[in-house]
Amino acid sequence: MTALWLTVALMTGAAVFVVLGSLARRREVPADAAEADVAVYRDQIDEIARDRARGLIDERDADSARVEVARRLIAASDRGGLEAEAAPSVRRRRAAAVIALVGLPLVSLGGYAVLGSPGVPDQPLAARAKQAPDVSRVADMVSRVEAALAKNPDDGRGWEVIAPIYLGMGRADDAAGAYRNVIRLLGSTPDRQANLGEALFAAAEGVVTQDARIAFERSVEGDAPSIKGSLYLARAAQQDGDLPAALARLKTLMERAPKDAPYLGALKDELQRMAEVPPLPLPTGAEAEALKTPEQRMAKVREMVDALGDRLAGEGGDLGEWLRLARARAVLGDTDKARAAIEQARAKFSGDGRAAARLDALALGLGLEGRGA
Amino acid sequence: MIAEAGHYALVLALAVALLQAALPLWGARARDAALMGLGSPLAVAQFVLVAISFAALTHAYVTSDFSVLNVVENSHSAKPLIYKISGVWGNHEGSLLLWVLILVLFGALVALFGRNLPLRLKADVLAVQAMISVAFLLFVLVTSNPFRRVWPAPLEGQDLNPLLQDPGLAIHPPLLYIGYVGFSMAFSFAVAALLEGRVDAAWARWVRPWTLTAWLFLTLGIAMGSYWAYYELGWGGFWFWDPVENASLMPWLSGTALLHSAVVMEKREALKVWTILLALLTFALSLLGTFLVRSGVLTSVHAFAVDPARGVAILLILSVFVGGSLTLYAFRAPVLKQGGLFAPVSREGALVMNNIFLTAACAAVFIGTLYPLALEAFTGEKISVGPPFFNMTFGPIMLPVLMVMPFAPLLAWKRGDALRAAQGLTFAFGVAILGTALVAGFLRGGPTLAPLGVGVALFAMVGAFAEIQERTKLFRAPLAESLRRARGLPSSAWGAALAHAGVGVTLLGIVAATAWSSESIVALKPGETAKLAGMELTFDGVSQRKGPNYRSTIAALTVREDGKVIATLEPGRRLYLARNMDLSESSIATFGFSQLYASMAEERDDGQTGLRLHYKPLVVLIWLGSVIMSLGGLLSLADRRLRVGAPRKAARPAPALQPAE
Repeated sequence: MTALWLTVALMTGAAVFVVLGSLARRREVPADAAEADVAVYRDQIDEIARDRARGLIDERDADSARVEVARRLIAASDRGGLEAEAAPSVRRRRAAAVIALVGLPLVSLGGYAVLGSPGVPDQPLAARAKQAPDVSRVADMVSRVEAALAKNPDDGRGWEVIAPIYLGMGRADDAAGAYRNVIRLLGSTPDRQANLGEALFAAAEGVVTQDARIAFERSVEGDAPSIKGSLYLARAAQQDGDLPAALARLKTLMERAPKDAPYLGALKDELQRMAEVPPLPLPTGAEAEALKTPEQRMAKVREMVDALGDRLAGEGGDLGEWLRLARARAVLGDTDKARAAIEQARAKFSGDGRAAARLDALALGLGLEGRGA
Repeated sequence: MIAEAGHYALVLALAVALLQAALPLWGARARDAALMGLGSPLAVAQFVLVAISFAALTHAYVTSDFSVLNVVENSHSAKPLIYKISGVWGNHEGSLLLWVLILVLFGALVALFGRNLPLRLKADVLAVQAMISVAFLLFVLVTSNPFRRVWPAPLEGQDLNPLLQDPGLAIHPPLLYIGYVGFSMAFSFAVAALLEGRVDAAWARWVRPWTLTAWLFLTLGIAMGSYWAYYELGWGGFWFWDPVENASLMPWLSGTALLHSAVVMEKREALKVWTILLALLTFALSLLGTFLVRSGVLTSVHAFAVDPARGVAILLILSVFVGGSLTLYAFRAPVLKQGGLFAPVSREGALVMNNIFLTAACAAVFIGTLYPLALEAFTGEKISVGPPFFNMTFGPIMLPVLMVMPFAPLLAWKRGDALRAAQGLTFAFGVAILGTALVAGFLRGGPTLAPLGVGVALFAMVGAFAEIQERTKLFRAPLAESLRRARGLPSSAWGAALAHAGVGVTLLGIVAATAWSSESIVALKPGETAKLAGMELTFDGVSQRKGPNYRSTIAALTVREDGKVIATLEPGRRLYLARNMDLSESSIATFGFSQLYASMAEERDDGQTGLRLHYKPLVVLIWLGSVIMSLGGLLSLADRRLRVGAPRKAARPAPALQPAE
């Protein structure tokens, strides 16, 4: 603020001084105005002489040019007497000085008072980044990290910090780019691949693209496959129309999960969600019309599951069908009917050890054990 | 503090300009040397203040100070430094500040180098310059202030329009503005002459160099703008008769006329009144050009009405300066003494013809540009005046100018001999006929008149040097004698020849690139090949790149001729992230004076990529010719000789024709 006013005062003072200094300067008696013209014509005549000496024009041309210029020169000299300058008057000079001394600051300070914002300091971006961080503003932090990353783009940790924030802010493209950098700089792990896939999935607005699928597949390779990766691969299978494969993947996950795994709830939700979506072929026409609401769709699914149960009870079927029936019942929330299905299957395949084991595993996985096992 | 200091400097510059507009003028009327002497120091002070202000704004851009609204609206922290700087004038407010900076720079130059100007003329000129800068400073401060602040400051700017993020923008507007503003000098001198009621001998000596400077920068600026549009817009066109382009062409046409009539005035003290009128009109057209582009009138008359403060201010400035100066002209012009007489066939006569046709061409452009705007403003009806109108009017008007151009330098002042001049052009005429015949005989396709266009262009190019040939007695005297004479020739003679040849070169480029260009719009899969003008362009596929503030998709093309790789092209599309704007980036390969031009249209779902391919023969000549014109102007400017029009005898003694011993 003080620096600004000091600058303002200096500039104003200098401007006023320019006027006063010029007015105070002593001048020679002003030259005859026509003298400038006469000087130009004299120069022209000299020029003609030079051109003639260099052989650029011949004597006749030089003569006629000289005559023409001389005519103009005489005309200019004739005007001379009439154009004498008036002597500088002290009164006028004083008036000018007062106008400069008062008018100049009046206009400039008055104008600035109306237009300016002297209270607003400069805020260059670099200086702002150094200020204490304002935690409440994510954007501010992001720009700080971005600035750091712009300077040092090989900072893998930085990319790892900012990537989930990008995703949270909805900048999925940037998040994917950041995760790519993380993998490039810090190496690939199942979790990082799964995160990259998730960002790509978000960027594609909920579609598992080829890039995303590759990332997810990498995330489930090795000894410690990523749960998140598997979950998304299940979704990918479902998006491909391969519902059985999707459900199988989820089942496997559930079967492998420790009892107190925090993601069990999410898995169950996912299973439920997938079961709700009618399997292919999708109903069309009037049928689709009848399945508008989730309740209607649910009823339709139940109808199909019941039909399967009836068929298996009457005609029998293979182990796969029985497993599917039990799973579907469990997913639909009919725990008792699911247990019943398992019991029936156990009875049917009583001699088959492998079938029994798979039934037990399913019961375990669906949380149906406790009776008969 | 720096931004506010810049703001204050600008307000203070306004106060200084007010003093500079009033005190020297008062002094000139009262014949008071002390007051007249104030003009120079005030002009310098004003320049220093505006320069401080401009530097402060540039500082805000470079440091990404987003507390300045103008920076928020036109910059982004991720933008490369060069575009942070050029972004200063890449917007309405900043460009007007640049305009004012150049204006006060010219004022300061008069103050510093105009020591030999008569005191009163200098005082009047500086006062008129100051009036212009008062108007513009007020306009900037009140309606288009680049120093408006925002509190609290946003964290990021909205980025500069990606179209403007190009090296072309860094150079184009300053060149154009030096041109526009340079004509303000001619204007100020003209108004000063009208105020005094007489034209000093020094008047012509001063006006011509200023006009020449303005003209050569304007020429470069227009050429630069044309080339920029050519490679940036992705259509392969070099001139669109777009109102923005026309706005710069009009002052160029009348400025060219002014340049030539100023020669007559300087050498023969004739055409005084006309020259003064041209000086007034040229600057009026420069003002119009600045405002047409800056006010938004061109996008729509409605956009103009949305921001009435700016619109009204613009109309006010235009009417005060144009109306005021023309009124002054009406009252004072009869007082000016008319100069020497001349015969119709003479150098003066040819220059008058040049003036008549150039102003007529300018009028045609003026009507074509402004009539649709006026019609929309009054009746609401939207019409579009396109290239056909300009091709029908502008072309035929310019043709006589081009035909007479080689003759004029061969005619003597006061009274000339058309036959002798025609004899001097025999060789040029022969070349033109031969060129036309060859082109018509060997090139298929293209409009019927195109070979004639080539002929006119060749005539202009070769004919431009006829005067040099005559004055150096080349082919008629020993080579040594010719060389000695060539060295003795004033650089302005070389300048005129070069500038006139440049016009021919540009014309040749325009004719060839318009008549014999080939174009192909194709959709290719990687590995596929398109053919154009005897070349094979193989599409190698698409890749992604990341720029500082954009992502780009690039299509790679390999160009082969007879199986040999002669070039690679990489047209692409850039997505600018801050504005989410998608922009085509064309790629150009130059072979001699011809260019192969590729731009990428879109990637399609079926794996094909849309490409627009052009082959433009001799297209580079268009801009090369403009550069040659400007070089001619520069040479002419370097000629510090005083000019005296010496009438040459029509009948020359024979010795020159005798064989060398």
